[in-house]
Amino acid sequence: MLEFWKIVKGRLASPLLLDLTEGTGLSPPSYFTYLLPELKLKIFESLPGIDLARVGCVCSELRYLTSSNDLWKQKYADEFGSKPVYLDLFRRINWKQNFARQWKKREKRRRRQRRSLHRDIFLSRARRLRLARAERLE
Amino acid sequence: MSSSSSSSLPPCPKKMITLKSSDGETFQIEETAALQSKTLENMIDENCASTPIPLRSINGKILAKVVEFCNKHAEVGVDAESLHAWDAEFVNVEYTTLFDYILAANFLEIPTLLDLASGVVGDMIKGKTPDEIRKMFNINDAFSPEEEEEVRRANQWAFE
Repeated sequence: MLEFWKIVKGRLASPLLLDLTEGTGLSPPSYFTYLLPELKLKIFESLPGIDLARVGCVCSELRYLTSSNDLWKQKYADEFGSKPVYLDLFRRINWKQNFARQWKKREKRRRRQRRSLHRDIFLSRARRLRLARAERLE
Repeated sequence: MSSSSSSSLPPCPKKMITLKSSDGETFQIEETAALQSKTLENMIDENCASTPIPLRSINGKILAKVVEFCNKHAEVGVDAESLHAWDAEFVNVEYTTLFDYILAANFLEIPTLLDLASGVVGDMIKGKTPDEIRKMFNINDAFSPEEEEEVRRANQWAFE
């Protein structure tokens, strides 16, 4: 399906639109829109998962392009290290969902760490103040 | 790949091939530099490179830059660090030119240039919101409000 769409859009629709806008003197809509799907995917290869998810919120075409399971499998491996291959054999893994789940878990952990760090700083400052006050009293 | 030819001394006189841009400009490039392009390599292998090669999808301005890129990357004895700095300067251009580089690199099959230019476009996307990306690339076909809502909900984690 993706292959068929790549051909229709890349080899037929985009060149036709380019010719039309050139011929009629209309301004071409967008350089990025004109890139072949495989070139857009090439650009997405270098994006971190979070940016890929945001790109998927731009328009229908990019939503479709960024839904590639293989792409998300690569992002998952980049961000969290790859999962054992045998998991793939039992069921089809939704890599984007997995990515989101791991991401949320990690964010939660980081928030908790930040909170406890702040608490430690607060406590040590309170202790210092208490000691200083005790010294003054002596 | 024939490794013997690359290890032997360069043949003299240097073999040159001629490229012709869409607007009729011609460019000479050494065969050794041209080999970075798989498309040109195939043409050289098939002995189709003795006459000027017409490149109808690449204009003179971009072809000049592509030839410059291939020459630089074919230079011997350039250390990785200075090449890296040179590359960074090479892609320090308007974003429309970056897209021209991507298209040319794709047509001529020059992986180093394709990776470089698409990496820079990727860097431009990093850290931006969907709205900012739409503005930057002039993308007008947005979602319907219902779709927008659905997409946002599904990707909520990327906005927290």
